[in-house]
Amino acid sequence: MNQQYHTPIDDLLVKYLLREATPEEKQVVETWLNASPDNRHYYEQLQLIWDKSIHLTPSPLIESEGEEEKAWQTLRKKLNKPARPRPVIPLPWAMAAAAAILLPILFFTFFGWPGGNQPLQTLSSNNRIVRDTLPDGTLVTLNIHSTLTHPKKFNHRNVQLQGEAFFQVAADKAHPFQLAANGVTVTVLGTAFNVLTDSMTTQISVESGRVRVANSNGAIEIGAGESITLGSTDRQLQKHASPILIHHYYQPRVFVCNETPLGQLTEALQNAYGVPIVIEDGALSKQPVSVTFRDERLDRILSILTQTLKITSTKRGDSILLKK
Amino acid sequence: MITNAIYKKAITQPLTMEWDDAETIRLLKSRDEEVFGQLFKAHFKPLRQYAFTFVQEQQVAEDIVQTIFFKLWERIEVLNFSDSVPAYLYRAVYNESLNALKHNKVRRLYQSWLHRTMNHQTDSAHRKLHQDELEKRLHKAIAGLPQQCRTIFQMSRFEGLRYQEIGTRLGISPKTVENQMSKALRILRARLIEFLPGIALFLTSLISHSNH
Repeated sequence: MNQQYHTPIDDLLVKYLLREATPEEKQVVETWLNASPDNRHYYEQLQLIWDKSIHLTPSPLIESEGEEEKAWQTLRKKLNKPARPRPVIPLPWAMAAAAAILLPILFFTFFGWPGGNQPLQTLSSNNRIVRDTLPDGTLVTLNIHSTLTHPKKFNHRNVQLQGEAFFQVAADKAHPFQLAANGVTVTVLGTAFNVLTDSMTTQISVESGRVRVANSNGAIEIGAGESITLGSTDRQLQKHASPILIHHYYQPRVFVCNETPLGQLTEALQNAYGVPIVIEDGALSKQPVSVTFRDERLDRILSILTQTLKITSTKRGDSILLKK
Repeated sequence: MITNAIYKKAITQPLTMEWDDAETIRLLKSRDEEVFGQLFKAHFKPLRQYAFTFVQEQQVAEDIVQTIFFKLWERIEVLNFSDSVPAYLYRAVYNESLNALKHNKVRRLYQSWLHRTMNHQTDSAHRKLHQDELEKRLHKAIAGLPQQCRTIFQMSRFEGLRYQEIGTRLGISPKTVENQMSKALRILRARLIEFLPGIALFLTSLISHSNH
């Protein structure tokens, strides 16, 4: 019996097993089964797999009446947000008319739009972290695989982000710095804050100063040491205390701990180095540590931690286990 | 060609009526929001269920469905549906779910480890009772099936759908469902062969057969 390749009997056996077989097909299968003990054994193995797999059925989801409609309304709002206004290009127009339009466009391209529609510039990072200064003096650290769109000239400071970035915003009370990401607007006067977006969540953490976070549900102000996380459907504006050091991890791997619980540090470390770090007991993970690591290798960090905290670190499979 | 009104009715009930994929694609590409909304509503629950088998969290599964439809609408004009629209949707959910898992992998590893340690005592007994080695391997093997194969197998096993229903839902022929189902079981058997009862049990079953 060939185990790897398709045989016509497999289709029939599975149909028989799933009670999809016609009476004629049943007949064929039963004859085949009785032809040899090997055949029956083969079938019983398929049957066992089929019977066992029912135990893996995921638990049923909580369903409610009309939730498709609700979910659709949520999606519709997102679809209709004019994120990128479509340019209307009047192709069939006569040349003279085209020139009449093109000239002002060229003018504004070089000298800036009078109103909101300024020419935009894009800053992208691929596999490495990018640090840059925006035209207004704001320092931005763009995490890998992130894109920031900003106006070429900062008549006003509206930027858009995909991915993750840390901003140290240049103070300018007359022109608030505004960032849009995933339908959330963050307004800033002068502050340092981090924004992380992906297809599902938007997370804003503030290091210093205050920012105002707004979405379709309203607005909230968050200050230093606070953060907010919004899901694509869960859009409740609710702030929580932020582990301040977290966003430093993608800046050249700097971890500043000041009486920081060990558990928070290891969480940042595992995000930065991609290695799961597990602390054996709860008390140890609450142990405060005060230390600064700059661009250290993970094994060096672990060796410093184990020596100062008098703990041990062992490799277990892919992860690292810390214990007393 | 069917009129839009009848057609729109048809796609809201994809399980019971035949539907015309070329026509859906034409309407979608013309950015008919109503058709798009009906497509979304018709597939929302099954797709969420499908995503859930990967991510194990209802909210995350729901976000995944929202995300793939959002992306679909963004790129609708340039998309090339090589097979049917539903097959495209399931493939998109599959890819998005794997992405979400990759993204959360580290956090998840840690959390599941925590969970296991915290519930160590009760859990290990519970696990022994309910999930033996074969089941664990089986779980992995199902997760490793090719996309279409896995989708069809899960619909058949977890949702109890007939070949015909799966075919209609995915916009493919029952013959394809049949091939994919036997492919799934063949792959699972090959991957689990060491854990399946060998000749010993087979002999006892022979004896019990001859006794009857």
